[in-house]
Amino acid sequence: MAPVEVNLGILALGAVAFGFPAVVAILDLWFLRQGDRRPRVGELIQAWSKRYPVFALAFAMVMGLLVGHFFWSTPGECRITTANAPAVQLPENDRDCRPPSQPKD
Amino acid sequence: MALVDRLRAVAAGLDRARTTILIVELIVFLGFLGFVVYGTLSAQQGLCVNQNGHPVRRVDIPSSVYVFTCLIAFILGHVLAQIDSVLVRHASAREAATDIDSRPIAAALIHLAIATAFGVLMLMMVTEAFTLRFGFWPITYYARCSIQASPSIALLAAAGLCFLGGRWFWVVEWRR
Repeated sequence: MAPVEVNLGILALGAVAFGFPAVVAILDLWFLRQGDRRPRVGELIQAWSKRYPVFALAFAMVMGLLVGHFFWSTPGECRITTANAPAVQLPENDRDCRPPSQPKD
Repeated sequence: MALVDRLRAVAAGLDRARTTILIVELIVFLGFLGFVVYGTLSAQQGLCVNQNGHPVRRVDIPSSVYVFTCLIAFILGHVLAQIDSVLVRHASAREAATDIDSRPIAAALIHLAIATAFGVLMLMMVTEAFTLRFGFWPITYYARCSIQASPSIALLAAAGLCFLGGRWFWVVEWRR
């Protein structure tokens, strides 16, 4: 297993992933209580995106790159434990894993 | 006048519904946050398998599911933002909300928030580069470790962030 300290990294990521939308929801609730004519967080950011579409595009692209980088880590081939090649992916537990191609004679 | 009153009543009802949705959303996010805090701080060992210095991928959900869920959440965020902004919210309120030039404090705050977000992203990339260079675990490994530790909650987190991305940054308005 990984050392216990790794859990602190996971905690930090979880805090960002769930804390950020929670803070936005709190702000939205607060804005909603101010009345219908007050802008909400989403509307302010949408207004900014309309005003600066190139920056909005850049921001969305970076977000997409990060999501793809973190979540779309499809391995090329399964690497199976042998005496000479230590395992990195275990094919029976990895749904993305495809069997290694057979060498042609 | 009766029709106007009726529309106002519908709008008031939608405001109540929006408040309820926001409260439910807040409870859900805080619940997941509590789960993450409890799960990580109470664990007696690392939450993922470390092999040869890398987190091992042992995920029951294929990565394509994450990516396509994210795409769907992105589109859903755009659609719901349009329904909320164009079809539900009063035109006058919408115009007032989007006119950020007449609100210098709001404009300054939003610029500050966006600049901070860009700064955080840049800091993440610098951290990633330095950790890779000097042999520490980069942020990517922690992200993959958390995906392995709890695939379904990681899927929800990814979908939530993509939903916000579609809601905030895909702002081409539908024809009214």
